[in-house]
Amino acid sequence: MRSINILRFFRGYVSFKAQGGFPERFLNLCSKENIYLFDAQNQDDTLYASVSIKDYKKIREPARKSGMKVRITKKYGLRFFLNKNKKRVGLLFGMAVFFITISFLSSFLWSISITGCESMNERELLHFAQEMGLKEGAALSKINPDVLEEKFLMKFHDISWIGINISGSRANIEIVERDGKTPPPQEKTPSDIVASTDGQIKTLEVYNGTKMQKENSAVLKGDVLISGVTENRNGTNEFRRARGYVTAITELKIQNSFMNSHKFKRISKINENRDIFFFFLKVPVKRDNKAEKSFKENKYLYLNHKNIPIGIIKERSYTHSNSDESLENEESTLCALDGYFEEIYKKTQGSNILKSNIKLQSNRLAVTILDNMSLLQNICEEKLLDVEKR
Amino acid sequence: MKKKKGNVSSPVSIGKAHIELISNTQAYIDGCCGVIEYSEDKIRLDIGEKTVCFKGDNLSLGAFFLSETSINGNIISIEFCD
Repeated sequence: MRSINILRFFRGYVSFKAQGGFPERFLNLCSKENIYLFDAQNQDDTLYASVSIKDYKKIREPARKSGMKVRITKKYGLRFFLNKNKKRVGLLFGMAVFFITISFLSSFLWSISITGCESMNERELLHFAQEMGLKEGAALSKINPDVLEEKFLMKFHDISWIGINISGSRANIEIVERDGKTPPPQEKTPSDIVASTDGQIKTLEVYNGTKMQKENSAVLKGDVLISGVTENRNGTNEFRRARGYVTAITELKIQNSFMNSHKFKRISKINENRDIFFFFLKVPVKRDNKAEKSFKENKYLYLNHKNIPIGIIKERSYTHSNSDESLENEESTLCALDGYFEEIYKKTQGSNILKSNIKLQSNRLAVTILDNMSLLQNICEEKLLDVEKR
Repeated sequence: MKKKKGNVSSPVSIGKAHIELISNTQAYIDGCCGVIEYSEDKIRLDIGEKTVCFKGDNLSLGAFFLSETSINGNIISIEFCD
């Protein structure tokens, strides 16, 4: 219904009222003359109806024959609007500029979004999309989603399916990641479970295979915990994929030193460049000398939960100077602690720390952190068996 | 085999009027030959062999062109007369 009204507005129509005579005869005659009447209403012996401009010119004859007097009540449509405002050149010019700008801007890509990204790096995908020409400000006519999809699949092997949907001026990259990135060993591939580190076994649960160790027994790295070789009652051997869950108490030593005489750099100057960007246009606003390393930050205009390719690019670079000063003891301690925590994070992931004995040693030359830890961790490691087939 | 008369499921009956109702607020009449009576509470249309009379409140002709007509308003009853 709305589209009919829009069409009527563009073509133009008039509302009229007809009085006296015979309205029924008038309607029938209009129908015979192929005059399209709409919104006809009969109120207090007056017929109100609407008709297109073209048909209104033909209405005189049926009105005369049915004895009705027709009078226009209101005129609607673009034609009348333009006629009324034809002296207001500025308004018409503004409208023309508006439509041209809208149609020009809608031929470019305004925003890109990625959905379905779970373990993959979204930035990497966006960077690749930009390299391939799918970027804010790119002309929509130059984007070929099918070719881009193929390129994505060739570059990223972790993507099992990709769809690039362009709706209006927005592009959405929809991806489905592969379920298992490294194919798990086949169920029938024979394997042992060995100890990944030295320790004392606390839990030993066997789901498949032969138990080789007992609880509370000490094991060395590489010792078989669950064997994939099982002996049948008739004395023959069968090879299976060993499965189980083994936890052990293990020891971990962490040592991290930091020299007081460590040479470090201090920031001596901050340089900043600023550009205003409008799609592909960049207007420099502020320019400083560029240093070795720079960090870029794009600030977009954010409207209706979408980034608009209009904004500011901030490029900041730091000039460093070598410092001859030696570090204070507290500063060295902080640096040593930083390295220590980083190492703990790397080495104790997925483990429970049962005991920690931390020691801090400092002298004129360096600060050293020593830690002897007891961990409860899963020590299962799968080792495939080499079986010769006869 | 005998043919059943007035088969409801037949999609098009040539030469006969086709009336479609949307609740009691709109009626589409295809095959209308002319308007016999037209007022706010009563619209009587010629549909060839018979006439159909729509009674109600605030009745209006949404469109009237060739043989196609639509009636808008609060339709209370529809009567067919010879």
